[in-house]
Amino acid sequence: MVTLVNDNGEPEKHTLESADWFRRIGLRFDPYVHLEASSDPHLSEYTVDLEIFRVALENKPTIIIAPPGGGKTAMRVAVTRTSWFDIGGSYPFPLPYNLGIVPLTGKPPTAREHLHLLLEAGACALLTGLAFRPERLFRVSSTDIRTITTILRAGLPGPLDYYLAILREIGTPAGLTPLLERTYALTAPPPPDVLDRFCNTLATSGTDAMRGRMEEVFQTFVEVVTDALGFSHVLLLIDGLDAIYENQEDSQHAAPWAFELFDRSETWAKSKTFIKLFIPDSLESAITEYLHHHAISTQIARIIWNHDLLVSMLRKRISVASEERFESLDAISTPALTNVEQQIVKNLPPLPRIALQVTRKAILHYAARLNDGWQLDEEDIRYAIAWYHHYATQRSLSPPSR
Amino acid sequence: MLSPGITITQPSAVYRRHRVDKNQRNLAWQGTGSMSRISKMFGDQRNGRINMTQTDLPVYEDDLFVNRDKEIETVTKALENIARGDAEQVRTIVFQGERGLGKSWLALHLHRSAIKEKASPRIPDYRIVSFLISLTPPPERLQKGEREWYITNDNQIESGDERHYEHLLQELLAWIAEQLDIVRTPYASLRDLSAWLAQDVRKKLESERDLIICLILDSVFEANRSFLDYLERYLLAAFAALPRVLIIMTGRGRPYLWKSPYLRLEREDQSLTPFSLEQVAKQIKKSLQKSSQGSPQESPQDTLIAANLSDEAIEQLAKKVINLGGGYPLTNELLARALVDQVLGRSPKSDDLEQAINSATIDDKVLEDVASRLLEVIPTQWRDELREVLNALCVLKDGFREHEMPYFLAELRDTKPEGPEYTIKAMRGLRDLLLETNLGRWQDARYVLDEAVRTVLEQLLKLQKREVWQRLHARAANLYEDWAKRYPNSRQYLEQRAEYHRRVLAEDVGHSVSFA
Repeated sequence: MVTLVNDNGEPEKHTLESADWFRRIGLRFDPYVHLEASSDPHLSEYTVDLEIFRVALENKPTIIIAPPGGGKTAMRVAVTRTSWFDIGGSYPFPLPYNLGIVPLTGKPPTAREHLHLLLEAGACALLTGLAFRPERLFRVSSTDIRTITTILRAGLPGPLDYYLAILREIGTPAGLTPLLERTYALTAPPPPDVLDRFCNTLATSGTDAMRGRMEEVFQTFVEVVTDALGFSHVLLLIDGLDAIYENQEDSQHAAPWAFELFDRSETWAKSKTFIKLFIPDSLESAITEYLHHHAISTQIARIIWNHDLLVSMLRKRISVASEERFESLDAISTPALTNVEQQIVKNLPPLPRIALQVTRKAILHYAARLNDGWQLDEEDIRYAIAWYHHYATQRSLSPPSR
Repeated sequence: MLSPGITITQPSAVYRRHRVDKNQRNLAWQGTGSMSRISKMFGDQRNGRINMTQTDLPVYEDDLFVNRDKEIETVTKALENIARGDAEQVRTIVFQGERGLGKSWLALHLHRSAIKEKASPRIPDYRIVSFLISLTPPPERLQKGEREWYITNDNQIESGDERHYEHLLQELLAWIAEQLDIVRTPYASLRDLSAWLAQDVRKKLESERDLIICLILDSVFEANRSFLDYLERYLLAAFAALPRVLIIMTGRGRPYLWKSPYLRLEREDQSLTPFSLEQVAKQIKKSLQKSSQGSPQESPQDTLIAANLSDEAIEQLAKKVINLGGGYPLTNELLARALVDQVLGRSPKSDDLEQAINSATIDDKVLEDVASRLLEVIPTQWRDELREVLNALCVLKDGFREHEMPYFLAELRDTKPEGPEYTIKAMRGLRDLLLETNLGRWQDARYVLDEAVRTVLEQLLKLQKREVWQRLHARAANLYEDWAKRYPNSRQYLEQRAEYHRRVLAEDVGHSVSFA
């Protein structure tokens, strides 16, 4: 909600919903409101560091390093959503594996525990993804559908029929994402009748869960995804070491959580499964040392935010929100104000979250005095930067992403 | 082509009655109910050649195509790299350009000629199958070729109706499937068709190791954004992920932000540029030669011109055309044709032609016709309103921001920028209309007008209303000078802009506008 003020600086009687207000300045939505990546429906459109995006998608084991709040979660979400953007193409299958929610036992998971958790994460992703894109399932043979069903029954945290009942009841796969995998908030769900057919197809394809050694079950999962369902390869998007680290006094303690996974990295790569480990820079040396010591081949990429990239990030958001009509706040600024985004970021530490918060603050300051004759002004920028410096000295703005 | 079988005596009347552009044909023809009757009146086809009126849009023909070697080489190299299986491939090429820069001609030329003649010989072990997909209806006289799909006049995509998009894409996907001899499921839903096509094309590429597929999409950015979302989701994203597929797009105006990683990561963008003097001369010469290939009885004037104009005279003509229009191929063709017609109308004797062309100055009515042709991309209901905005802003070669708009609109109207018509809200409304037509776009921190259109409009304004043109430049010089004093952060930039406008006025002989 935005409260407008009149010429005397007094609040006007009416207020505008922020969506209305953004429409008035030519934006379809507020591009700076989502600080939590997974809740932003447009996130995958904002990607600016295309080289990291490429590395995150390609079929090579990779460690992606960034500071807390530096865009790791955003990249993971972007990879997930763009891979499922179309209906049936040969894109990677994103398997989000959040180590931050691994049960804390005081020691790193064993290989078997990792596989169990990966299968669970994979089954959650697969059911949610297929519920959004059931056409992929309809195309495979009945034998493969049975295999998929048995894997889902083996891997899902609850009974498959329970999730199918939710799908039938709610009538949209969006109902599954908060239960199973938040990053799988995909667009373009199928019509209800197609979703119903999807539920029936799985419900009538057997009641058994796949049994066997965990390695074999996981291998079957990978084969079904890449062969029958047509994905090019599987990406193990591993995140959340930050979260473990936060519960430890020493960052070195968090690193071994990933060691077991890298021990399997080369074997997995042979079956089109690739680790993409997202870590904070504080864990880099411990993990790379381990990989070097064990001669495990892995590429390393860093998300490095500098002022230029932050400017690009802010502008890309404006561009998306305005449907490419303009790509800088310069477009709605007074003649006194040019290079708005640069003026904002040059006064801030190079972290996207802070740049987003401060830019939004400037826009809201402008919104509060909006009328037909006014534009974004130097005063709005000064106000927002002063706001940041005031609060930065008192407390950090918000915790890092998980 | 220059005036084959030209109807010289009544160009503007003919133009006003029946000329329509690819984006506007539906609207323009509404209510006539008799295209064939009018076609008979103005488009009589004889011996494979068609009578054209003065402002007909030139229709692609292989032997009329000029320039674009660099772009053809880009495509050829991309195809070679795909054949070699290079790890780092360009799999999407986007050719951007302004109105009349020859994007549609380039798309046609690649599909019908260049890929076959230039790329295929360089990768003889591969079979390149190209598809041309045009998101606007074809020009009236263009013969539809093999593996070419066009939006039809009855099926255009401005509607915003999602069911219409689904229907169109269903048709397009089914057509591609049929061309590739895969997936024959005419009753499948769009989603099913999309999933099946993606997997079946992948299997086809796996089984036919010598096959390379090239999708050429014309007029992409001009299409409705919601339609592009559908196009990407149901067709392009899947094709972009395949190993031996090259996607080529052309478009004007604000680009579209694709969501698929492969459409973003493995892409090369190229801006088409206007023709050089040499290229314009070559374009004019080819056009004359082509039109003189008919029998002398059929097009006596064309034959006359072609036989009598020296290379030097053609170069002179090209210079005039560039001065007036900036070297944009469509404008070149229209202006050259109009100039020749004008000269022939006044001095039809062959021995006078060269001298007459050298000394000719263009009639403002001719330039008005050219401008009108260029502006036909604006829907009729907006055309007058936007024409005024374009006239007001056409002196701003370096672009503008919304707060500059009121000053120029008011100056054009010879009034003060006060009242509700000049509020920022009103300006934003006009700005959006301008962007919607893709005749304006955001570039380098400012909005810029389509340069092909801007150039012609400024020339026309100068020719028709010199005093208004001077006032607009003077307004700009004064405004930027004033702002340079008020806004020290942007002083240097604003002073440069003020200086530009002062210089334009100083170079204009006989101007009498004083600075404030």
